[in-house]
Amino acid sequence: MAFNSKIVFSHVSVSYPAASQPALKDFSIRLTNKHIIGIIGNSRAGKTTLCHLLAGTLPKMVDGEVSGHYQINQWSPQQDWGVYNHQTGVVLQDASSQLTSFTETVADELAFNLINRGIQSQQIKKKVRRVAQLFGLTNQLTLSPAALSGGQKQRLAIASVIVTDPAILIMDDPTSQMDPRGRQIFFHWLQQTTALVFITSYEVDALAEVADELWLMDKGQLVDHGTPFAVFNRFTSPRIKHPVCWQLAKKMGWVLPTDGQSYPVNYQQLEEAFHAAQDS
Amino acid sequence: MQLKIHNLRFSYPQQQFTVKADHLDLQPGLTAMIGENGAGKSTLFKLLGGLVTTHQGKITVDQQPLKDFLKTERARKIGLAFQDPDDQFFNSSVKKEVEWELRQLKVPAKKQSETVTAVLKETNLSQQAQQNPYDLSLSDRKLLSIATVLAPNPQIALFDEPMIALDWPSQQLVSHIFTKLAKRGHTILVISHNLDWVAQNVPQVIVMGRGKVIFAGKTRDFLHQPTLVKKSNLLLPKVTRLTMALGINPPQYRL
Repeated sequence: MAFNSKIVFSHVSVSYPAASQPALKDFSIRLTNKHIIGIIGNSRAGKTTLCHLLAGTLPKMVDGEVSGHYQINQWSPQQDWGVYNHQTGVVLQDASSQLTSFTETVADELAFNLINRGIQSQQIKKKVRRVAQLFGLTNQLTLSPAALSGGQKQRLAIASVIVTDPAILIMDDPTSQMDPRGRQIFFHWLQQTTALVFITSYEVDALAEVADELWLMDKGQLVDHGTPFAVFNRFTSPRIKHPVCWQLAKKMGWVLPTDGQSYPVNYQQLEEAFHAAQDS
Repeated sequence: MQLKIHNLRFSYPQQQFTVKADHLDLQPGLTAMIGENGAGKSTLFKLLGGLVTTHQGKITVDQQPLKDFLKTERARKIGLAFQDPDDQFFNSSVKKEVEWELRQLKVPAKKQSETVTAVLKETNLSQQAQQNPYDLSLSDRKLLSIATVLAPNPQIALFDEPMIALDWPSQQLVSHIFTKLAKRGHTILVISHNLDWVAQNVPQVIVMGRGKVIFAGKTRDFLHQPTLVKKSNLLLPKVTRLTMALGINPPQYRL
């Protein structure tokens, strides 16, 4: 599937009040036709700040000084906020804080954004059922959101966002509290979505499977970017966790036959490197 | 210190869901509690920490019923770090937050100050000592919740998903802290969804599913039963799944 997207960041910096260092420093990148952009890096790298910029919440709702120019597809999140806001779905790092907290049931919470958009009730019911099934919340539809476990709340926060089919998704560590199967289902779903996705995550294995672009950040700066394969093979510091495929292949000496020196980062590449090692 | 459960039953008001645990024995050392979302892990965590109580069954600490403990006595023996750290902070600075429990336990001032400095250093929060806990990033708030448990040095420490939002170096730091405490004879229980970490670092597991304890015992004994892993709706560690998919022998579990 070809993705028609455009991402431009030109010398973007962000400083928060009273902070000694900028949270984002001279961030520049220009990309077209990307689908899933994984944003990785250690704490205080600027990942959450970048998510706020992409969501348009900074400087609209989060106090901070922003300089430089940035554009997602045809919109500037700052100047075209009204239109842009309708295109985006945002999942915050602290998922439970974005639930409305006044709906009585999980079904009502899932329907909330759809009702606000004036969608017909039959359609709402259908969409709610579908998204609940996808995120394993069917048995919880009549429960109060407050009665859910942490992981279930995180599933609910994601489901309530994607139920409106946003064209651009911004997700800050969305699966941190999910169980392994929930994560598997989520990343599988992510691969199928037609939205342009920006996702920060420590799930490097999953990102290496689904992302077509990875941004590696450190102390507010973009350190490297490219395909997961390129980034994980270029950047070998132990401070950044590498995918298990990469670690296993490195330990076993399974390199990819294409260049005879790089290690695989996802399962398809691992199989290739493994068979090449068997044949030699 | 030994934490034991005898015929425990607990339900939240107006909910069908019940947590059932007939016999569970938490020994000194490191134990992980694993299970799918909504399995009852956090509820059992709250029961073990004495945050919720039940009339059905009992929990004992070295043969003494947990419900008979005075609050200060319980706080001295059992430390808790919640899944959502924001549920537990109310002081105006990181330093005061770590100090708070020491003050309640009437630890002498000099000792308080030494402990706070050491614990903040251990959790990599020395630079943030004067900041308001709510101005910290989520990962630092998670580290702070761990620091508040470490400060009074309880014999039993319970952590609900302590690795959430932690980057790789912090995960390794926290893992090292848990292992160190376990080696010193503390009873450490950690709720986790990271089976890769559990397989490599945690010798004992309690597996929860639909409110019940499905398995309690050695981690490798659980991981060597793929049908039980499947029944509990969990996935084997990534390296095991990869090697199995390639048709080669998976690495041996060390623990």
